[in-house]
Amino acid sequence: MDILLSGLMEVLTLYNFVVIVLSLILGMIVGCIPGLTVTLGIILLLPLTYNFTSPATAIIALLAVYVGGMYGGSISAILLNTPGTNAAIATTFDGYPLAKKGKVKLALDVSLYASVLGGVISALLLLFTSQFFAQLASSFTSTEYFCLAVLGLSLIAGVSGDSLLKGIMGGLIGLFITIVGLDSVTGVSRFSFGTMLLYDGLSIMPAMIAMIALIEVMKKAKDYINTKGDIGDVSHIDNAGINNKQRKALLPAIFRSTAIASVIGAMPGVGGGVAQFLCYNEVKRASKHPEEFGKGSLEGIAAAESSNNAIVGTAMIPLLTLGIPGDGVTAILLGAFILHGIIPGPTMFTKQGATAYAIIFGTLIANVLLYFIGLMFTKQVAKIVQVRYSYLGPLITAFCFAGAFAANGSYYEVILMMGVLVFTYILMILDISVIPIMLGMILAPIMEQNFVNSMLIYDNDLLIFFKRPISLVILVLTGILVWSLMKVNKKVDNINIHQAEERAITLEAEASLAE
Amino acid sequence: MQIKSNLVSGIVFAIISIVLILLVPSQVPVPAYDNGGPSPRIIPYMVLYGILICSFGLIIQSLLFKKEKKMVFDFKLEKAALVIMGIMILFGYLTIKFGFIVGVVIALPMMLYAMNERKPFIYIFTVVGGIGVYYLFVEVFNIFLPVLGG
Repeated sequence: MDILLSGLMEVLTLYNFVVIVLSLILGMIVGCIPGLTVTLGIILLLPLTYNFTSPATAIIALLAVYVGGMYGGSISAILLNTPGTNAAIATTFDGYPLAKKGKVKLALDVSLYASVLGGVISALLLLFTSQFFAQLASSFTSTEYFCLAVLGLSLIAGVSGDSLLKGIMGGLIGLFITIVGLDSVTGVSRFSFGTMLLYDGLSIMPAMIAMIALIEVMKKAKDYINTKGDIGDVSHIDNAGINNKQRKALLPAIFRSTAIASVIGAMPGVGGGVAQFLCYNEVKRASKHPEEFGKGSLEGIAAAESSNNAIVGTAMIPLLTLGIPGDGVTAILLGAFILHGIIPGPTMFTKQGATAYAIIFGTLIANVLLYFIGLMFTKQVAKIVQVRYSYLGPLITAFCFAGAFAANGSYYEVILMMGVLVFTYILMILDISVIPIMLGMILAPIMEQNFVNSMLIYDNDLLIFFKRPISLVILVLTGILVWSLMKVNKKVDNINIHQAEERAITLEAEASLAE
Repeated sequence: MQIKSNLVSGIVFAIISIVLILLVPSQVPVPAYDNGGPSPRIIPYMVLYGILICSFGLIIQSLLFKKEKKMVFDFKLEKAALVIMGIMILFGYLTIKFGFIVGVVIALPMMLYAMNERKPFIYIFTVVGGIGVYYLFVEVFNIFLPVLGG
């Protein structure tokens, strides 16, 4: 209880509130601009957080970007029919049709209302369940931690798109990148080829900047050049928002969607991108007016938006309690934890308990503040989608290079970052996702350290991971998780195909009516 | 140009992993003393053999099961990406060699030019913004950035 209170006190400062508000606005901005993602927002903010007064504040700021970004993604989904983030794709199904009917403010209000409710409920789940999971995992040794890292890597099955083999290969490439440089256990240099450039290896920060931020700028600039800067029309925002009757009517859809998304979020590997489709489909199935879905249904917007914000809180449960990321963004957050000297996992609640609870309360407060920030700034932020990308791209590039130096001020890392940029471009051409690579890089030190410790303790017995009951259970769970993730991916693909067909039929009918 | 992504990535990474497996003995020395722990070569071998197995899997998928994803590489469209990537690399080179502000003043306007911007205001905005980023990191966040002349 004392730890819980000290966590709450740590977060309840004016400084933290200002940081949360600014981070929420940053998240809304990066989320709403198509081409800028939540991950990019987190990576841009990460170097600046080195100067924050406490590591908890730094993580809360990054989480507030995540929360704000999830809502921000709906703004461009509604105004431009272009989701600002992957998790806002389902918002376009009903958000844009409603906006086309002239009810832009109503669509944005429903999105904000559902986002906040979904986010707050999942943050409360995080608050009340994390201690339980942490206690459950408190008896783990290095053997179990190694198996947990393997479980974390299994989320590759959820983020590897349509080729699991490429995903696994990506994860292994990530592990190999981390192998290059000094071995922390024996002190020998690995694959340095006799050059100082590779002697220390490549740290996470410049790799994240190259693989995610710079490559996104490059892709967006390419589209900008090839389309001659055409970003589509932006709708005028009216003033007729949501009323109390509509709020009440939407509650069942929001609760249903939040419940499903919370369970999915707590499973490593699924994430908001997948949850939104499952929730949308389920809410549509249970709705009294399924025929309105795809034509501007308020329930449709609420289902999509409550699901992607509900993911934020529950995706933190495996991260904080087990030290394994719940989705791609939390994988980046795990990197941020490590950079700030916070070791997530069961011991976090005993050794850094106040920090753990400060982060949890910070997530909750960020979700509550999102409502007020959303009401105040949505109109202003929505105008940013009109900003030409040529104003943003070069400045983001400058920010990225400055951020790369922030890691440890090494010239070598910037040279390696440029190499990683070229490598990532080649991977893009070969249709290999970088998220499994990032995941491999982030989990590699945890895997290697615990593997070596297990080997030292159990006399190099490689079968020890199958002999200890808890580690065996974790490995079995990993197998089940991979299998179920593949099933979920297949189900989502089917839903996508079905919805694309439905939308095509609707558009065809509209076109023939117009004729 | 169409690229058979499974086949090409399988072949590319199979070659890379075989070369690296052969290089392990020369690139990962065994420590002079035995601390009782596993050899520092065990993890590199496990990872590289894993990549090799996945590569063969992709090749088999492509050739035997005809499961393939064809990626279109249109040089006309990709030229823009390659130019921007080249400018980014130039930015890095200029930053390391001559300092961050020199990188901002030379590379960012080049990027704007590549993005077909011709009006002077956006050039001034970008350069001033880039210099602003420099001062934000150096003065506000006390983070070292390279400067001209060391």
